[in-house]
Amino acid sequence: MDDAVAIKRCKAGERDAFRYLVERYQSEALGHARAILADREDALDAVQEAFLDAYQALGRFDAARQFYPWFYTILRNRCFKMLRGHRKNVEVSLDDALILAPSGEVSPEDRLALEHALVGLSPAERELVTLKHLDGLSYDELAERLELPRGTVMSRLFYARKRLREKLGSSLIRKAKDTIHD
Amino acid sequence: MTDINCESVRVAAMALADGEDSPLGREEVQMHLRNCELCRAEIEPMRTMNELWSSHERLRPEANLWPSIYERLGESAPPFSWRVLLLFGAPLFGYKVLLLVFQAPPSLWSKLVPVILAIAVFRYLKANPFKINCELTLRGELSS
Repeated sequence: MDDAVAIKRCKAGERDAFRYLVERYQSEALGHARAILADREDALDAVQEAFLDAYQALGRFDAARQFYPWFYTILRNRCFKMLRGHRKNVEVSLDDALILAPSGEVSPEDRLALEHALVGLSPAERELVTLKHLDGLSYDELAERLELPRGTVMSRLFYARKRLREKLGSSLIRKAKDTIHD
Repeated sequence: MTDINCESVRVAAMALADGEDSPLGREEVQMHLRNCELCRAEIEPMRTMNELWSSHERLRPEANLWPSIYERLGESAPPFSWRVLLLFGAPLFGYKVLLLVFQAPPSLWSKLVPVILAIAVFRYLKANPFKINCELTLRGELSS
């Protein structure tokens, strides 16, 4: 089965066909929701609600489009709606990663420092920076995904990086520079 | 002609570092950076920070959301398609309109035709002449 077949079957009233879409995209969606909300439990709730919203809206889905970018719009609306409701103080621990995957290349301390710096950004800044650097989206793709003009993406990305640099502090950047040059 | 100031050069420099087009040309940006120490001090750590990301990946947490979503799908209605409504609704509506048109008594036509003509005039004028008259009357300009 592929996305188009699953969506067609969902529209015909086959609820089980929706399982394919949920199982295919749940991890990716959770990763994106965590990057916006910076909270594990809220991300889980947001993704569930977004899938239910998407199921309801499948009738309006344009088959010429890809499913995930369309679903992402629903997901981010859910996340920002949730953020308007409440605020939490986020604690990031070494062994339980929130946004960044643990990797052999980076020490847990460095990953944690970047996670802390990311959590210090606003949700919109965090979303933009992670879509750019972790998903590798181009400015045009970012503009389409976030429904913003390309020039706005360019300047917001600059200011988000500026804030991230301030949060990271010069020591980690110097360390990164040394690692790159070694 | 584009205004060159430090802020626009910095934004453009980062766009160029990302391999993207920017409102300022590469040479223009490089020339400014050569002469502006403040901009170099701002841009250099940001470029280094960009390289820092290459060793990081997004976390994709394992999850099994389907059981709880499936449970709640039962509570919600199946996806609603406007196309289905249009497919059945439009012919029915058209049929009803045709029936009304052919069965309508002449008295109805005598009322409908002026209304249709009035709508056509409003569309042509792109304004409601009665509304304009009301405003003029309220301001006392029409009577004078």
